[in-house]
Amino acid sequence: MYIITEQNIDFILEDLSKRGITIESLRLNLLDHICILIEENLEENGDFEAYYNMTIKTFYDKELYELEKETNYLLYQNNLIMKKAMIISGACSAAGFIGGSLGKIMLFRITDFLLFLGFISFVLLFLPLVFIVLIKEIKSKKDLIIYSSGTISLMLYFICMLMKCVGLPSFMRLGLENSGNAWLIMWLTGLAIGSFVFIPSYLIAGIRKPETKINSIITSILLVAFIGVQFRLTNLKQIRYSGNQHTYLKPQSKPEKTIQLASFTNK
Amino acid sequence: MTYSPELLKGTLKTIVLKLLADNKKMYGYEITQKVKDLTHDKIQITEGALYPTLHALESDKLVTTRTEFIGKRVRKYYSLSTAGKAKTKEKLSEFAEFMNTMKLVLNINSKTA
Repeated sequence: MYIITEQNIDFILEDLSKRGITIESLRLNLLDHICILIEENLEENGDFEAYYNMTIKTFYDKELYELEKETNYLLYQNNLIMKKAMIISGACSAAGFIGGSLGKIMLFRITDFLLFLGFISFVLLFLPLVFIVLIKEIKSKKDLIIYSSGTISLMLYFICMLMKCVGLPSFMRLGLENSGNAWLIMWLTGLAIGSFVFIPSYLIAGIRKPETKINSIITSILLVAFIGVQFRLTNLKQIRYSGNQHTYLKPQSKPEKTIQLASFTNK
Repeated sequence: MTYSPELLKGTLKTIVLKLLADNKKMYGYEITQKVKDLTHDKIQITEGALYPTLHALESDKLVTTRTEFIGKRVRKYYSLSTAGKAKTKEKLSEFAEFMNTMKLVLNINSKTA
């Protein structure tokens, strides 16, 4: 009976990785299986590498990667329709944003409609579908916090942006008092969830893994900078309308003398 | 004589679930050997079919896993979850019905079978 050494194990793991097996648990399953086969069938002084190469060939038809492909197919086949819908809604959203932006440059009237389409498909279809797809793959409560806070933050942010950009009926038009404050609260809630829940949990989860440490730090800094700029552009004095300030989210009924540098609308 | 992979493809989950129901906990290699023994080598589950299926069962929360370290390598034991036990019963009764239907369709009687 051949005794498997640590060098043999390292060799097998490296070879499995080279052959395209990236799912850790699948690689460990195969390692154990191969080790048993070798221990049971190879003689004490047998040629490990030759026997290993002969054995591994019995695992597949064309290449070992077939196993990983089949595993991924079985794991994610239920998500395929949802993933397709996610990609289509994402594409619609991107097309809306690009079309709306081009329309804005060329001063077309269709700009608002395209932006509206982009925002709606992004907020109501793409983001929820991304969340549902990701939630099925979560491994811990930390992932759940990261995905849900990120999704909620983005949804609130884009809903407020949508209202600002395409001038949909606001709370004020619906007859609610202090409508600017309602939007402001929604906007700030989105930024707060992003700042105090999403970024810290994303950063903490990322820096614990050596392979994602740098990316997590860089992305977190970029997100902090982005949210900081958004916060700077937010007019916090909604109740007492303060005239010429270059900010987002002002009450929409008093725009006559306002220079809206940050607004995307043509009006 | 061994059966063709096409015949076995739709039954692999049922086979694995039933084995786990009968044996409490098993690891991959053990499952392949058990099937070989039970069927006198007529059914040979390949590694390429078994491990993706085990991963799918784990993902569907039909089996639970427990790992054991053997030196530097890890052995993963699979056991049925509560949902897995219910699913096994469902799969077995579905398969029994399917066999009866196939007998009718193909007109297989006890003599030819």
